[in-house]
Amino acid sequence: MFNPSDIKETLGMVKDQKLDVRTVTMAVSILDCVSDSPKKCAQRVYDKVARSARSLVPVCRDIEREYGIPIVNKRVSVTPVALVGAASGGYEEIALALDRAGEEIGVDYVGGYSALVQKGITDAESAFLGTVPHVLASTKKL
Amino acid sequence: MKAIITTTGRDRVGILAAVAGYISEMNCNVEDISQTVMQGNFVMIMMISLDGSSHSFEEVSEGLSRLFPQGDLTVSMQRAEIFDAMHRV
Repeated sequence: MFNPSDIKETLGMVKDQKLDVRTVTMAVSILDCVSDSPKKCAQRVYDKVARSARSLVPVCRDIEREYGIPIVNKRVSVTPVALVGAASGGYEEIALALDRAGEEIGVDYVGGYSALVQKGITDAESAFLGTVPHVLASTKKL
Repeated sequence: MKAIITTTGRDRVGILAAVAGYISEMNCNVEDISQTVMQGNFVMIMMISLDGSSHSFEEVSEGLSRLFPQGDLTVSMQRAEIFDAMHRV
């Protein structure tokens, strides 16, 4: 039915060799949160992330418990904020909304405060990149 | 659903009886069991089926962790699929 040495080896992987699942990431599209008002855009982003990823942490905990393998990071990743915030320019408002949503749902990180500039950079993306140091210093989850 | 229960710690009288008794109370079926004692260190691996039980995995698992409050034995319960996934292609 089962091989005890296989089971001991698997248990040893977790206990002695520290096997874990490094990260579970849930991707959330926030493209539909675009608005020309920074406040409205940030509110939509908060609502969408807090609503759609609310089960991520409890489900990861259930998986950890059932399989006995720790999941080190639970993470949400969103559509690059440089795209979503371009219409309003409210990048920092979106960052704060993402940070609040991350705190609310209990994830370790929120990814996606980024820009796709590998094929050239627009003025809006340049403005976005200028906000990165301040945003990273003033948020916990981003 | 099948699960593997692993009990390790210092050997003493009644470990198997305590675990098996609890499993029976939870209406789970013991399908296979392996037990070794090496230099006083007790290791028991038990495969159980939860199919006939009205209790959830979480309930059974939490009850098991409270089975030896003295702390000399560690009991853990994991879904059996993880062991298959690690060793079978």
